Amino acid sequence: MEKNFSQFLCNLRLTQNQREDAKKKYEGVINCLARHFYDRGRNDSDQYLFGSYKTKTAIRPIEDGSDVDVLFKIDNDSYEKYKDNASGILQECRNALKDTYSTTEEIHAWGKVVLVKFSDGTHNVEVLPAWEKSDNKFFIPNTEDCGSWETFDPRSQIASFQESIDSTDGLTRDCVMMIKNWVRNTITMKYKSFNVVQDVISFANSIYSSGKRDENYDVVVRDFFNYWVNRLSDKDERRSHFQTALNRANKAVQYEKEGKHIEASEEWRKIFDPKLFPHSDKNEERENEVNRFSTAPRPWSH
Amino acid sequence: MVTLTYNEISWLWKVQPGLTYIHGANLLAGTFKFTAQYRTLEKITDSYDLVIRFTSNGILPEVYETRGKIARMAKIAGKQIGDFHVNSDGTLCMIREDKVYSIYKNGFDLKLFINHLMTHFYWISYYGIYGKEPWIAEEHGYGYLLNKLLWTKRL
Repeated sequence: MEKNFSQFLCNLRLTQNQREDAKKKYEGVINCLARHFYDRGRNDSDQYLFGSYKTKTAIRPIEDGSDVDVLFKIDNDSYEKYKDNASGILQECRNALKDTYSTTEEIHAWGKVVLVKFSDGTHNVEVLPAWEKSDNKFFIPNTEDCGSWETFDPRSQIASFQESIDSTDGLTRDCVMMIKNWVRNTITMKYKSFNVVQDVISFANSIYSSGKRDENYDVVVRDFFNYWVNRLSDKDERRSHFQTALNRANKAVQYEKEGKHIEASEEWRKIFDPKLFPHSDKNEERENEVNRFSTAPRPWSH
Repeated sequence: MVTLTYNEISWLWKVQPGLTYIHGANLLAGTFKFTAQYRTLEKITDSYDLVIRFTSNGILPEVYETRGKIARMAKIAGKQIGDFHVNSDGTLCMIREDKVYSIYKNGFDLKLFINHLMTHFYWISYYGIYGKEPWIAEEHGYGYLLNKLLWTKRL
């Protein structure tokens, strides 16, 4: 099953073209805003990329809502101008972008972001205008509830994710990608990507803090479902979905141990997108002598 | 102290080829594998890396799980390792001391012991996978001695 999981991860990763397309789009958006606010082209210090494109956990297929998240850093003058008018900065950004992305793209400003929706149906760009504070955090506008500015700290989120990737030898990233696919494939479950990342970090740091080593992906993913089934409250509407996934994962792991690769892969294809998780087409012939018993000593500890 | 005979080692090699007897240290080491099913519960195939040390303390050897698998299962379950019947010294606690002779009537028996290991690890695996005991384990600790004393006094 390890090969199936490796192929699955390859199927999830963005292609070179997709990554380049995303970069071209968000740099284009930042370039447009830099010309408007600073009368010059973009430079790297104008932006801070965050979210799944920064952490390299964006997955295929690119769907509506697969947005590239990027901060555009506004200067002190702009902040002073709009500090009592949060929606004003969003509108100015929106208007600046409309000059460039005039007819074919949709541009919306609400909440905290300006969304540039591209007509080619691939990556959209969500840009947050943000004022960088002296503590390296950002102040971002929020137009809800009469409008205000709030602190946003993407750097610490990225840092904790990177730390987890480094210590788990990349396992955290792999798990985030796979679980995001499970979430997409479980259409009645609401589970935000931000929470997926936090939950995977918590699980990986606790259980596989040095990486998966010689453990197999099927056991790691099963352990993720088991970990959270044991921690989610009964009132959490995700719990039943986690339990369903765990039941299937348990079956899959047992089938795999018996050499029943076809059955094992079918269980995983109920959890993950069957268009992306490979099907096994051959079982192994194994002599699995089953020791059946009906009485046994009771375990103890002192 | 128990030491294994040539016949026992030969038999063990057939049923558990992953376990090796190290004569000089009088211990078994390696991977214990099983596929088992208790009554109508789920079939489980699993394996554990073990060191099994024969000592002069009691009939049964000391059993250690060496890969940290049980500790990981306990963490996943959000439980203490003692709930998976591992003592504070790292040994597995497979049976209450006063019940040893109910199984090992004539002293240590390798075949009985290997079967005992298999049922014990079925319990451990089942608890880790499904979050519930396949059959009731003993209560932790020595409370049973007090219960015995109270019962004896009643008589």
